[in-house]
Amino acid sequence: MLLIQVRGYSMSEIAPSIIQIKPYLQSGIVLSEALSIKQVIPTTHLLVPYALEKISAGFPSPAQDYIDKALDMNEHLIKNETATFIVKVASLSMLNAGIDIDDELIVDRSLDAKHGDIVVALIDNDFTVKRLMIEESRKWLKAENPEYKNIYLQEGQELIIWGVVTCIIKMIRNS
Amino acid sequence: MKHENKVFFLIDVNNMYVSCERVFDPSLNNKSVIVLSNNDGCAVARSNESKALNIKMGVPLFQIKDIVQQHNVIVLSSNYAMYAEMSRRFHKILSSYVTDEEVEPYSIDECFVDFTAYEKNFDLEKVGQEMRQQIWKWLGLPVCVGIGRSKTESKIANHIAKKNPGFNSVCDLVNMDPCNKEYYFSLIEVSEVWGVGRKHSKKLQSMGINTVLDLACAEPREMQKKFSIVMARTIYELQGISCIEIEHTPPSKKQIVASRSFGGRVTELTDLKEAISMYAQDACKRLRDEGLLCGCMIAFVQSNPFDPNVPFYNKSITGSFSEPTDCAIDFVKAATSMLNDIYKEGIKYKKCGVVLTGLEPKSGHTYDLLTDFEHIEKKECLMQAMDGIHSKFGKKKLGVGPCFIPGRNWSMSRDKLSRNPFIWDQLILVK
Repeated sequence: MLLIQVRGYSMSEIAPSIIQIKPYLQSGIVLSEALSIKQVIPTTHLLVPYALEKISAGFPSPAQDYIDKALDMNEHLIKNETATFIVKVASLSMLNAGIDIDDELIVDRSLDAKHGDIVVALIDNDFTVKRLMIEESRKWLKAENPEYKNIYLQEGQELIIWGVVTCIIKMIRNS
Repeated sequence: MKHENKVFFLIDVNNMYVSCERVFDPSLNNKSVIVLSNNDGCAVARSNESKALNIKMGVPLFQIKDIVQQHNVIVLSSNYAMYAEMSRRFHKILSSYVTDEEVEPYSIDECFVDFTAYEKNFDLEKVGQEMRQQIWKWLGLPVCVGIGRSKTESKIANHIAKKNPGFNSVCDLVNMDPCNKEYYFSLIEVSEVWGVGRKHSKKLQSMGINTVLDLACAEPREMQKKFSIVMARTIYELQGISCIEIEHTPPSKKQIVASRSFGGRVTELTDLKEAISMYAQDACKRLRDEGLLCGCMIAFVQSNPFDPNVPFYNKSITGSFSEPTDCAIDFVKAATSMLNDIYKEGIKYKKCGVVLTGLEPKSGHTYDLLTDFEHIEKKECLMQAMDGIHSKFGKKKLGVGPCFIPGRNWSMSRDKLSRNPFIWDQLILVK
């Protein structure tokens, strides 16, 4: 006689329960009702492939042979991921530097701000984006819009550089 | 293994949650701030200003309402998504100082670094200052650095750096004069030692061991008889002999807990079922991320433990699966049916949840001879489709039951939630 041991139980002991469980399992999976899908949050990386050489029309070789590397926008726009933050602009004070309301700025905190850099700064614990001007020992913030005032430090005021702006993301076609 | 020439750094973010909030909302600087636990229950992080008001760690908000009003303490909900991203960056910066094998992220705001291999070539205190300055500049987070010959010693060093402003946030016990070291050890209560805790410190005090110095001078082998090998190891560590190595890979999970308290009080069984079905799905997601199967589930419900007027109701039930599973539908089915057995009418529930135990790696599971593979494959296909939808559209777009529809009766309250500056539509605004 052949006795099959399964996890310490003999076949005859568990067989009846299997017969009861099987139809239960096969009675089907009940799918829950699908919820409406409203918002898309893109979480994938988008890679745009580019060709290394020009491909002449009618050339038989498949184009894949010429694609060496894909363009990675993150790699292109962000040099130091760990120290990079993205902020949104809420004023017209830097319009002539090409920075408009709702533009997004890539800010790298690891960089040392130099004269002429556009920076995100803190004045009295408020965020502001301006051009940093360093003249001899004095620092001030320049607005790039004649309708806005430059910021000169008052007595007791402190200028804290929060980060250096490296890039403006400007959506020019709103969908 | 015991080593006498190791060097460990312990880097720890000061008041992590409050400090994170301040990076993105500088108006919180220099003010009394507290961050509450899930559901705005208890204070889990306090700025130094709040600590000065004698607000204790973990105190329920209602017990400090008066202090909060009188001193205009700013109260925030916890923004875990944001803290987690800042924590990732914090650990990443520290791992750039050594190799990946020499870093151990110990918690959301603490990190051990094994610097042994580089001791000869660097001034340890200078390296500590560099770490501190880099984390401050790149992330805006203030940290303290402790340096010692063992993990336990680096923890004590960190404590010394935190309590004594003269150290400028970095304390190096490796190069400290032994007399100075004894002096600082004699100032710190034994309960501050890593791994000692409140229970042991009472017994230690009864033996006349009150300070870190007392414990460091104790005889390890004798103490092992009175306590355990752990205590002996702690004493060696305090004497500068390293016994606890950097842990590279976290030990595989023993259990997964998913529970949260409700925004209001919940009394209806249907509401409880909705809530528990969400926690079951959260737990399932974590289980699948780890590549595990679950054999056993515990479901529990609780009333509010702080309500002095009604007795505390706390019930749980355990159920096991005929075949270990990682399918959300199985978990929801099991959790909601188990709830029937522990639900009692007339209770104002504050919390419910599930615990998954009996975990094993999916890859190593041996199926039973009579397994219905066709059925398991069907479930797996369904789960993969769900996982795909979750990673593409967010985890609230598809679920089992109505739990992800907004505005449920049991939804968590997070009234004072700050923005998450790492999400496109919540970026910080600059003028």
